[in-house]
Amino acid sequence: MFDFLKKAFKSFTDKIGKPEEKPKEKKVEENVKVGEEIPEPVSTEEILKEEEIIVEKPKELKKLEEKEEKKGFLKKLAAIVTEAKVSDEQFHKLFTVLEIELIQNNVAFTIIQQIRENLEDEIVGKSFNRQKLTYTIKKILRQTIVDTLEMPKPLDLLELAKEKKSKNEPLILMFIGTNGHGKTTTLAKLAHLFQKNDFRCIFAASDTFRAASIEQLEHHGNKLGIRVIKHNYGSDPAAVAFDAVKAKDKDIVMIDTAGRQSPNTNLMEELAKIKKVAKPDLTIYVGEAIAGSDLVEQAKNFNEKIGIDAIILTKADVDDKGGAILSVTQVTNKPILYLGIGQEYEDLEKFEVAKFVSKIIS
Amino acid sequence: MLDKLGESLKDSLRKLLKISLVDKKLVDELTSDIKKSLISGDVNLELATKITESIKKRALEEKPKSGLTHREHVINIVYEELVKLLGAEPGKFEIKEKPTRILLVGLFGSGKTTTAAKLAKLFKKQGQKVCLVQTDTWRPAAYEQLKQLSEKINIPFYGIKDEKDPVKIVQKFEPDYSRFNVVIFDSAGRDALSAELTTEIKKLNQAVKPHEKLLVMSGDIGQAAKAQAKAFKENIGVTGVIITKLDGTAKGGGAISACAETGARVKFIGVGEHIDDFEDYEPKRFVSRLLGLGDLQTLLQKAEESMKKEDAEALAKKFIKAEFTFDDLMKQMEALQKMGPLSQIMSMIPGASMAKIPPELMQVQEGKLKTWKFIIQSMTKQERDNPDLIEGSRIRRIAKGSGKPESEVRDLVKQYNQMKKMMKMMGNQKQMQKLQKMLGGKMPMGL
Repeated sequence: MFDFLKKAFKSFTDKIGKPEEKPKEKKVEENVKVGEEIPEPVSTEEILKEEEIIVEKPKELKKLEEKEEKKGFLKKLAAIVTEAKVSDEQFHKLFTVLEIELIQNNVAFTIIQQIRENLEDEIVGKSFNRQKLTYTIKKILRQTIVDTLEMPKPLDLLELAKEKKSKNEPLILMFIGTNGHGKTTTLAKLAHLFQKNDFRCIFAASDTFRAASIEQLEHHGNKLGIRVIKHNYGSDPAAVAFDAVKAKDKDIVMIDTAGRQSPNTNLMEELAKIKKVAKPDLTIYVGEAIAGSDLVEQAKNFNEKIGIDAIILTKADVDDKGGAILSVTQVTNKPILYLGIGQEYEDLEKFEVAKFVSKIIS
Repeated sequence: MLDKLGESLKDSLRKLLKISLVDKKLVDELTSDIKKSLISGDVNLELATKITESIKKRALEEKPKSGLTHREHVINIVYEELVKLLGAEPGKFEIKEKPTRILLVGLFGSGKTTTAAKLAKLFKKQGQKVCLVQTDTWRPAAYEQLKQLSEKINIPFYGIKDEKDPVKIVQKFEPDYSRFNVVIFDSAGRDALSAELTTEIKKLNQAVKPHEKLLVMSGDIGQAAKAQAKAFKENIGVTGVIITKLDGTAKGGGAISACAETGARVKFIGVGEHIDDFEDYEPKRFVSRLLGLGDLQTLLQKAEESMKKEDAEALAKKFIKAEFTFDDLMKQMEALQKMGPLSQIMSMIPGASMAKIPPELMQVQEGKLKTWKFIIQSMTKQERDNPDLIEGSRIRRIAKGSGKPESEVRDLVKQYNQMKKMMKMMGNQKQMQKLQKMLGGKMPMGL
C-alpha cells in the first residue's frame, strides 16, 4: 500500500541528489533510500528521535514539522550539492514536479503548501553536505506527516469500549458517509472485531431508505450472531436508533445510516436528528480511499454539518496512493482509526501513524 | 458535476479577463493553472498534460478567428479542448437488437444496482419491455435490493436467492430473455485488478453475451479510475460509461479520465438517489456549466443573426444605464427568442455565469416571455415609454386588452422594475462593462 506516495517522495529526494540529471516525473520521493534504512518504527517518538540524532540542531525540528513529501526532491538537491547551496531556482524546479505528483496522489493543497514552506525555510540558500541534506529533507517530510496525522489525544476504539463497559455504559457508535463508500460492510467488520474481544454488539438499521439495506445488515447480523433493531423502510431512522440504544444486553450499539450526498441539506438534517436522538459517543465518518479529491470535500462537509469524531477509510486495498489519508485528516483534524482492506470480516487494519510514515518515507 | 473543477478553472480564466495582452508567459501561467485544476479535479496526469499542451500550442500558434480578440480566442480554445475531453457528442443509446443485453460492471459501491433500476425505468418510459437480472451473488442482500427496486418500478425481476454461481443464474432464465426488448444484468462490485474477481467477470461476460457493457463509475472516484477502467476494458471490453453520484460535490475528473482511457463514451449520468434522477449525458451543456464560459463563435453568430448591430448597441447602452423601456424590453425579447432558450444563451456568454443571475429569475423569464409580449402589446405608446404610469385602471385595461389576468400585468411591472434595478447594479460592476465591451455591444446582457 501507499507505493505511489512513497515513490514520489523518493524520486524527489533522489533527484535533489543528482545535479546533472534532468528532473523526471516521479511521484513519490522516498527519503529512506537516500539515507540509511530505518527500522520499522515502534512509535512516532522513535521516528522523530531518530531524526533528531541525525540532525543535530533540535531547533530546526520545528520548522521541519510540516514537510512530508519532499523526498525525491531531497535526493535531487543532495545530488546537486556535495557541499553547496540549494538555489531558489533549483528548489522550485524540483518542487513543481513533486507538487504535481502530490496533487495526483490526492494530497490536499494546504499540506503541499506547508511542505513547500517548511522545505524552503530549511534548505533554500543554505549550505549542506549531501548526506545531511537528504536527512534534513526526510526529517522535514516525516515531521510534517506526523504533525498532520497525530492527534493530541489518541483514540483507541477497543480501549474506549473497555472503559465504557467498566462503567456499565453502552458504547454508542454512529456511522455516516456518502453512498456506496462501505458503511454497512465496515460496521460488520468492526462488530466482528468487537466480538473477538468479548463485547456484545447490537445493530441499528437506521438506513431506512436504500432498497434492501436492512436485509444487508440482517445478513451480517445472522452471520455474526448480532441482533438487528429494525423498523420498516421509510420509517424514521432516529426512532430505530433510539430503540437500539434502549435495547438490553449490549455493550456496543452500532448505528448504520443511509449514504448521503453532503449538499443535500434535508438528508443531512435527518442524520443530525439521528445524532441528536441517539447521542452517540463517537460519530464515525466512513469514506473510501479511492475517492479522489472529492473525499476531502465530503469529509469536511460531514464534519461541519453533522460533526465527526473519527474516520475509517475503506477500499484501501484498491487504491494505494495514501494521499487521501493525509488530506482527510488535515481537513477534519480527526484521527483515522481503521483502514478497510478487503471483502472479508478480517480485512480491517488498525491505522498507525508511525507505520504509515515509515511506509511512505523510508 | 465538475462544478468545483469549474470554479478553479474560472479563477484561472478570470485572470485572463483582466489582462489585455496575451503573451507566452501568460499562456504558460494559464495552462499551468488549468493543469493543476484538472489534476486536483481528479483528471489523470497524462490526460491533463495532453490537454494543456494542446491548449498552449493552439493559443500560441493559431490566429484568432475574425471577430474575436486574442483574449477571446484563448478562452475559446480552452472551451474547445475541454469539449473534446468530455466528448463532443452526447452519448446516444440505441436499442438495435431484441433483446438488447446490457451488462453493468464496476467497482464496489459505485452504484450499479441503483443504476440498473434507473436504467430500466428509463427504457420503460421509452416504451421498451425491460427486465432486470441480478447476478451479484457476493454482496449481502444484493438480491433483495434489486428485487425491491424492480417491484417499486414494476419491472420483471430475475434472480436466485442464495445461489453462488452468477453464470447459473444467467443460464437459468435464458429462455425468458427473448420476451423482452432490453435485459439488464447487474453484477457484483469488483476490484478489476483482482485476479479472482476478473476470472469471474470474464465467465459472466461469456454467459451473458452482452451487446452493451457499461462501466458504472462513481463521480467521486479519484486517480484509481484509470487503472480500473483499463482493467475492465482489457478483460471484457467496455462500450460505455455511466457516471453516478453527480448530485454530490464530485468533480467527475476521475470518471472522465476513465472514458479517455477506454475510449468509451459517457452514456448516462446519475444525479440523485431516486429512481428518476437519471439523465442522458450532454457534454456541451456540461462544459458550459462547468466553465461559465461558452461557445463565443456560436453566440456571436446567433446575436448577429437576430439583431441589427446598431439596435443592439443602443439597447445595450440603455441596459447598462438602466434606462430601458417596455419597448426596448420587447425588442430584446424578440431577438432573444430567435436565439434560443435563455439559459442556453447565458451559458454561451463568457463570464455571464460569473455574474450570478438567479436561475429562478431566468426560468420565470423564459416561461413568461410570451405572456409579456401580449401584455406589452396592449399598452399605449405612452405607457410603454413611461412604465411608472401603469397603475390601477390602466392595469385593468391592459389586462382586458391582452386577455391576461391583472396579476400578470402587475407581475410584469414588478419584474420590469426588478430588472431595472438589477441592470443598474450590474452596470456598476466593472465585469459587466467589460463583458459588454467584449461582445462589442452585440449582445445586451441580462434578459
